Amino acid sequence: MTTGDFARLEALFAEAAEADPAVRARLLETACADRPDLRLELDALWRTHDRLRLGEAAEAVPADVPQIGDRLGAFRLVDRIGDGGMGTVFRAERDDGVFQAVVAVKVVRATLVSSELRQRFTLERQILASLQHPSIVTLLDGGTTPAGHAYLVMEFVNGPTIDRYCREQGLSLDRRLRLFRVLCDAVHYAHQRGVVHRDLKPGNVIVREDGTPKVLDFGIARMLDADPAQALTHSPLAGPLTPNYASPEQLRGLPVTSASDVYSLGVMLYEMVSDARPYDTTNVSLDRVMDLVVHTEPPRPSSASGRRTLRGDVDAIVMKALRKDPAERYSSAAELGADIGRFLAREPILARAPSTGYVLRRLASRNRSLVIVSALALAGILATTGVALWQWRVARREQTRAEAGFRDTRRLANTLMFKIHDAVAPLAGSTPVRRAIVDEALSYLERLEREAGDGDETLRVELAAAYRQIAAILGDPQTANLGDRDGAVRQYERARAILTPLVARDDAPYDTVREFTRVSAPLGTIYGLRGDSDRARAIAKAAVVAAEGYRARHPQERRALDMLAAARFTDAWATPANERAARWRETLADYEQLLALEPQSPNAQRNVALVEKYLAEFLPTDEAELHYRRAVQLDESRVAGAPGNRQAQLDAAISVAGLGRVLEKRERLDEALRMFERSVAIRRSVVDSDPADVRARDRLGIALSDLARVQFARGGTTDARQSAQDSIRILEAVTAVTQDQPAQGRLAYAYFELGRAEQGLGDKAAACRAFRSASTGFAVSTPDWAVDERAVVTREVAACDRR
Amino acid sequence: MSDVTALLDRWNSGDPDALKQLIGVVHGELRRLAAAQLRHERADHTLQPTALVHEAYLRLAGLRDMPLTSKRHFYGVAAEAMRRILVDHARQRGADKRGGAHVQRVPIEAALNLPIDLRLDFVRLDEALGGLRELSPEKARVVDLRYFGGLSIDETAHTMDLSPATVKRHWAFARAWLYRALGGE
Repeated sequence: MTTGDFARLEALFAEAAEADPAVRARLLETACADRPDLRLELDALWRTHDRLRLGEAAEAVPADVPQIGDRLGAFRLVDRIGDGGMGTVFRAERDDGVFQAVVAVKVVRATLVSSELRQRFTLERQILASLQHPSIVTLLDGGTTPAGHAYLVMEFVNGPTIDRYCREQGLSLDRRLRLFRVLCDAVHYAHQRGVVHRDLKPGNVIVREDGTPKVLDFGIARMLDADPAQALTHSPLAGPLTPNYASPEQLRGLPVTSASDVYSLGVMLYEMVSDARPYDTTNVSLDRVMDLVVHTEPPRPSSASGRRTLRGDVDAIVMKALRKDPAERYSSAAELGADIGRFLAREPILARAPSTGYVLRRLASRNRSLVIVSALALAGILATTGVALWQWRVARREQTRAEAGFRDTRRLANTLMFKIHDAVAPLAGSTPVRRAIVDEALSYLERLEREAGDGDETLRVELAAAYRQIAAILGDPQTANLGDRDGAVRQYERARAILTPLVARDDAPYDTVREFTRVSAPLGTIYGLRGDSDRARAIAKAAVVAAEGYRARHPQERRALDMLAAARFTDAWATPANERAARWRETLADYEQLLALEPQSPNAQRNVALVEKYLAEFLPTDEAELHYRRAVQLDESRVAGAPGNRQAQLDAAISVAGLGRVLEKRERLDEALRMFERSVAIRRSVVDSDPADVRARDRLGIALSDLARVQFARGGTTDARQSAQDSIRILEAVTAVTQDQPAQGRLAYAYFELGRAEQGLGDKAAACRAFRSASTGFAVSTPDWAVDERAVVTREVAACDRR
Repeated sequence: MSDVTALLDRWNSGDPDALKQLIGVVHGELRRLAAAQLRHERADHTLQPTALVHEAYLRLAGLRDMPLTSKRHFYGVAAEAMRRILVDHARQRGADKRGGAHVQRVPIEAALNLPIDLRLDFVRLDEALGGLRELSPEKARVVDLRYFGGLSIDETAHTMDLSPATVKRHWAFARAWLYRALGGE
């Protein structure tokens, strides 16, 4: 066949591929009159196409699908009550005059082409008809319409779906769980008879007026699938399943067993108790859903919903039903129901048997490189767990204070959290594992807190420290964390609640007070970030008072001064801006004392330099210059002492740039220029030493904009243009990565500098381009220090538009 | 397993060697994944290309979101690899059955449906597909992606940068054409 013939054939084929025979006949007559061979081929192609289409699950319902008013067997279709993925459901009445009954008739959308499939359908129907359970909708009859549509006649059930029922009736947790238990029994009943539902979801469970749940569509999914000669499956992930409720093995196309139903029950339970979904799959592509369900751990229902009552047992039950590995789920729906029964009876549940092993196994399976890390840690930890639990029991039997057990368990929690957590944290995608570690550790600590009661002070301080460390992992404002600020606040508050009565005493020891200040600092910062400045201040003040108290009692101890200075430092940040300068002066005095005690200590140098900078921001320029110079001197000496220290370099760059800005304000531009050049040079070397550090690049971009400004002011327009361009290049790359709005504002500022330089160099078109870019960026975000520049940009853009 | 991402990047930036290596890696992984299924040839004689290709993707590329172009390339390469694996498998089995006894014929309704029916004569299908490829590379590509790669109409459209309607049209024609070429009506 020539290419030309092929093209013609193809075009004709497409023209009437979906058309009726009359249209095709006409086309054969007219378009192929000259070519009998093409005519034959085209006709054959169409006919093949028709056969193949028949074989597909009909994407559109064929015209001869049953309609309202039609009779199917002894039933007349009276009302259409729903359209599902698989077919249409009608309300139907038996009207053979013998007796009256209302039923539901489900007409399956696809036609059953092969006789093999039809036989199979009949067989499955018989199995389903044998399911007689009060909570399973009874199958009454079924058959095939003359056109080949399969249909099922079922008991008619009226009522809301189970999720709506729970919401509308405002059911309590206990009542929801009781309802769910009935569901488990029904599913188990079917499993015992070899029938797996495969598509359990709230939409398939209706609650009758008398409160009985009824499961719909049992086994129907299977009836229409998994047949080798099946003509019904044609798309990936075929078969009727609902991604939200489908188990990982279902999504991966692996064999589906009763364990998959247990998983789907788990998802339903998750929703019923938390009113949240384990995975957010709205507007998510199917392969993303696969990723989520197959590879990630959902948050526990308690953290998804913020409902504390779910924490512990209910969480454990749901999570056990949702395990990725079918073998780790409840062995049957009945087991799941039984554990719920235990919970309702306030008995210990199965799902809470120590699951450390599970966390670690999961950890190991997640990433091969992790196996090595965790295999090492694993042996140690499992051993420790055993010892801890054993000692714990011994301690209790002996009625002594459970100190030994506590220490070991605390060590365990520590090992778990910090060794493994730190090993896992840098790995991409480790968040769910970290989350699991935290949850695990928390449940240990909670148990301990209950047992420790009013134990001795050391124990309680240790407990507080553990809560603080967990809080830091959840949402420490200063370091990488899981982004769970609310969770962090809860744990910090918990730690603080343990410590508050302890520090109130006159003789509170160092460790207690120190822990109190350690908890207060991040907690206050979080409240401050949230805009709750009153609470932030109260917390910071309380920490200062406690530290002052300790210092008054122990005036000779340097650590007392250290602690006080740190508390004052936090307090200064929490103080409103107009009073803050005074706070900084106090803090500075503390740190100067510490530096005097240890003049070569890099830490002491850093603290003084830091506070000098903060204080300088509040001072007139002549005074500010002195403070900045001292900061520069201290930071530069740290850099000289340890040339590779990034932190020292970053600090020095900030000090130098700060001094540069003060000098610029004092109109000593030559000196200012040298400072900005120095700041850029330091930042360049910081970026070079770790190109992946986006923040460092962001700062370099800013430093270059500063440099451009001073170069421009001194008349070095060409230099200014170069610096602005460098700044833009760097900041563009940064914003592409971070999508950070404030960074857009900084980028806009760099464009502003470029625009001015281009203007100065006489390139009007380039200047307009730059100002337009600046205008766009400022529209996203305008830094408060760039309000004037924005006004200039607006004016310039308007001028450009007029030209 | 950042190799694949790196290879895709290199390929995207015009390094032809990267493609060769990439095909090698993807092919190897898919072959490994398919081997278990092919060895025991499941009771229902089917193979889920979708599951295999997605799994290969997850294994090789991890959970990272690849750029769209890379993802397209990946699925293209994977579909190609799947086809070669099945054809090789059919050849191998033909050879096993003394003198290449012919692969069992399957009911025509089952061919070119997903999941793939392993009783199909892939050697002949491959030849027929080769014929189609000469006349219309685009249509043959649709068959590759849709049938061997297990992609849906929409995914195929996405990968080839065509409209779903066009893909649908190509698919309908290509399928009917291939049946005819395979001796079906």
